[in-house]
Amino acid sequence: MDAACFSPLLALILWMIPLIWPQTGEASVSSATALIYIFLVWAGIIVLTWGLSRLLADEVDDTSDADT
Amino acid sequence: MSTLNLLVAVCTAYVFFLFFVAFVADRLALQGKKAWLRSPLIYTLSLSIYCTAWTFYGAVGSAARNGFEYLTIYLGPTLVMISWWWLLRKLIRIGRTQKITSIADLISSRYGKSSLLAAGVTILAVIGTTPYIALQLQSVTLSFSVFAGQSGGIDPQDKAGLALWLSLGLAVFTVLFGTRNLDAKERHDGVVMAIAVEAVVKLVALLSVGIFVVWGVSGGLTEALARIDASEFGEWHTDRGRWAGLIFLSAAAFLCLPRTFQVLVVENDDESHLRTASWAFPLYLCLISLFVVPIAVVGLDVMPEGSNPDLFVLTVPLALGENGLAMLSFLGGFSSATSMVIVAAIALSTMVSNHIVMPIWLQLRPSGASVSGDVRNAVLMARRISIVGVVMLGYLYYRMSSGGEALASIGLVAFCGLAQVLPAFIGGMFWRGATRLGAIAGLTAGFAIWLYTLYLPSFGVGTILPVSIVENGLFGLVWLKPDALFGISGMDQLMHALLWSMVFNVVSFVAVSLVTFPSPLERLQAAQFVNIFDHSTNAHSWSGGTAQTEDLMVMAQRILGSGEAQALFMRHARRQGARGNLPAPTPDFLEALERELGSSVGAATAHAMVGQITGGMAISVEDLMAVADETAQMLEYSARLKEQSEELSRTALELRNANQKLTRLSIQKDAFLSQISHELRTPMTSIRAFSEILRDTDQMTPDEQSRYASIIHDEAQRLTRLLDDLLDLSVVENGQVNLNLREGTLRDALDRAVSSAAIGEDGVRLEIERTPAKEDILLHTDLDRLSQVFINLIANARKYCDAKSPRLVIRVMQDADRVVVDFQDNGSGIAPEAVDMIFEKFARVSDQKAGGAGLGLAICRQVMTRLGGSVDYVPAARGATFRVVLPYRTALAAQ
Repeated sequence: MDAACFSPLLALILWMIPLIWPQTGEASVSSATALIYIFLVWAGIIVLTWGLSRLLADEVDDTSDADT
Repeated sequence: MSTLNLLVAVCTAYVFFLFFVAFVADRLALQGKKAWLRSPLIYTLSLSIYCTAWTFYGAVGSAARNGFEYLTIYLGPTLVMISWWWLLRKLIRIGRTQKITSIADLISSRYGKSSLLAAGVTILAVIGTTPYIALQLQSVTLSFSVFAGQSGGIDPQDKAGLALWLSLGLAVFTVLFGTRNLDAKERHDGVVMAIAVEAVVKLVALLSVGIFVVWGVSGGLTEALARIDASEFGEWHTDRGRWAGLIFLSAAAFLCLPRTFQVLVVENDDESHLRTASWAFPLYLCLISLFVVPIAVVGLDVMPEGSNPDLFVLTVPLALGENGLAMLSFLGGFSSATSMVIVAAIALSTMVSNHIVMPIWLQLRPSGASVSGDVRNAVLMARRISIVGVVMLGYLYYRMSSGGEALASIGLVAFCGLAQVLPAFIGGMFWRGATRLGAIAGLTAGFAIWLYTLYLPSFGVGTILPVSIVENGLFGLVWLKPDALFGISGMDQLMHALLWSMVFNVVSFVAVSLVTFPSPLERLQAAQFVNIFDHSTNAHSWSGGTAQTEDLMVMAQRILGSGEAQALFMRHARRQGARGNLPAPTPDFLEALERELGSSVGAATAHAMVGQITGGMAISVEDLMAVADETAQMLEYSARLKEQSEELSRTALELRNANQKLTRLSIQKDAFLSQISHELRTPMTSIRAFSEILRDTDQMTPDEQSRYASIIHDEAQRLTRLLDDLLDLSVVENGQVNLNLREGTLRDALDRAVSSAAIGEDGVRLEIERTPAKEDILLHTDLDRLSQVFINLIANARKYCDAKSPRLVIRVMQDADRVVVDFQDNGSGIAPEAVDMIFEKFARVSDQKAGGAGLGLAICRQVMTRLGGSVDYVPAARGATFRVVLPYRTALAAQ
């Protein structure tokens, strides 16, 4: 449950990392690397959310039963 | 023109296909076969309404112009979707329990059903969405002209006509499938199905072009990546502010856009679909944006200098001779545009008809004569007119902006405008203290700043905002320049507007909420929204009958008592012919149970309780008000009962006290009578005896005679004294005594008392010590009675003092409000156990020294009470000390 609350924060932080990459000069990151990084994070987050939603399935059903 | 004709034919066929899909879906829904119509997959696909033609074509254009910035538009919604557990779940639950029909309805409902807020949000939504619809029309006409460009091009007149026909077609589709039914929950199965199909077309089209570009043109993934690095945006360049700002903006827009709200919340059929969508929709977004950069890079390579990058998705396949792929891509764009217009029109028309047209119509209509069917038709008509109106407004905007480049940037401008709803929206869901006035203040401030700094300037300098304002600021104040508020210049215009509008929006929302006080309805709604999971029931999980009956049983037992509840349930079970003791929760049974409970807890409360357990129904405000009324009445009644019972117990206590007093008095009377008869009897007996001796004895010396006669005389005197005392006491006790008030000094009273009592009949003299100087106190009282008290006290001292040479000290003291006279002898005093009794009638300290009837002190006390003072025994002092206290009222200091 808490993990489901924190996962957006994790994603946000990971996607904010490109902001601290150097943008000019020798050390700058190539576009392809950046692209791969962002999409890898994306894929990771999707898998994580998928896993959490599987875990939370029981919880959702439980609460809805308890509510009625 | 053959390509164009083909294009029109394909388009028409596609549209008919969509009509067919929608029609079949609606039919199936009517037949109740909703299972696969409303699957999590369809829900997820329908969410793709977020990706319009602007993102379909524009993402590639944006990538070609600004690098990776286009990604932010997809990252924001992804963040929102993965926040499903704490954000969207709550939002959807609120939407379901409150029967929310649009974002305007949500805001208005949260803030006490404020119609002003609803109208405000509606206007904001219309202003923000109209250019967006125009943008869709533009994208379709542009894509048409691309195909036409190959076969001679089309003139602007044809373009406008095309846009008009497209708008009309979309309006017809929306009217047909968007206003078929007037459901309380605005669900449109046909439309949702059509949108899901279009979502698939979009995705397939973009993926096909992407795959073609990467593997067909570039020759593989590695080569494509190398090509990206080699291209003009080979290095990572991003405006940091825009990166963060656009992620926020797109996330906000995903929640606040009327069309996404429509599919996300209103069209949601089952909360558990969200669970799937939470990962599936990010996946969709990820796939949609996956090939954008490769397409942009190849487009920049392949296409001639100066060609429009917004159309690369279309022009790249065309340029490379892939006409079929181009057609698919065209259909993808067409799908994006049409689905957006359809859903936006439905969402906006719901808002416009519910919050603007209907209130006005109901106001204008003569009151009375309202038939429900009447209103229903009016609502449907209002909605149809609103749909046509909204689509036509988009068309007009398109014509006015003449399809220029300015339109392309309007997407983010619209996002920013609609994001102004966000603070009131999120604040309302998570903060109970948010008030209606706060929401109005926040929205107004944000909207005004957005209008001034972004929306009006977006038409171009000099169009609506005069050049003077843009250059010199409003009223010539430099710090009010629309692109540099407060003198902060050099920022990106969008970020500048977003920052200031959001800052002012949030600050005024919070500040006004803090200082204003919500109405009762508002507070109720706030509690329902913020604590939605405590208040709501999840309607979809309609658990089996027995479970409900058991719950009902538990509740009924609590209210009726277990025996009665079981009897009731058994009775109904038998009537229903059910096995076991639990009846099925049929309407009849529920009604009976409600009546039964109603007699205990009130009808409204019973209704609410049964409704809560059987689920499905939300408790309306009216229900709650009725419950509150009943509770108040019961409270009042019980308060009255409590008051009465307190009064009763008070009376009972008084009666008990009175009874005790009476008993005591009766005992006292009995004691008094027996005492007095004894007292009277003793002298009478001796008188009788001696008088008999005198009568019957013949030889009797004169000495003897006189001795006997004197005994008789003494006894008679004693009798007389006793009777006098008794008379005196009864007179004083009954308050019949007349006080003979006059003035005199305390010394006179004491002198008289001393002279009459200091020397007893036996000749024993009591030595008395006085301080006459202090006795010069002028009194206004009954001096005779006072002397009587003094005499009594002095006589007592003389009689009972056991010292060898008895002495009595009379001390007079005087303070502010009373005069105290102490009579202290030098004897051994009164035994402590006897002290309590000495002022009672017939109480004598010891029998040996019996001199009187024992009424003296009792009389003294009564007399002093009459005179307003008191006489007491002072136990602590040496010897027997009696203290007489006179109130100052009767004592006046002698001059």
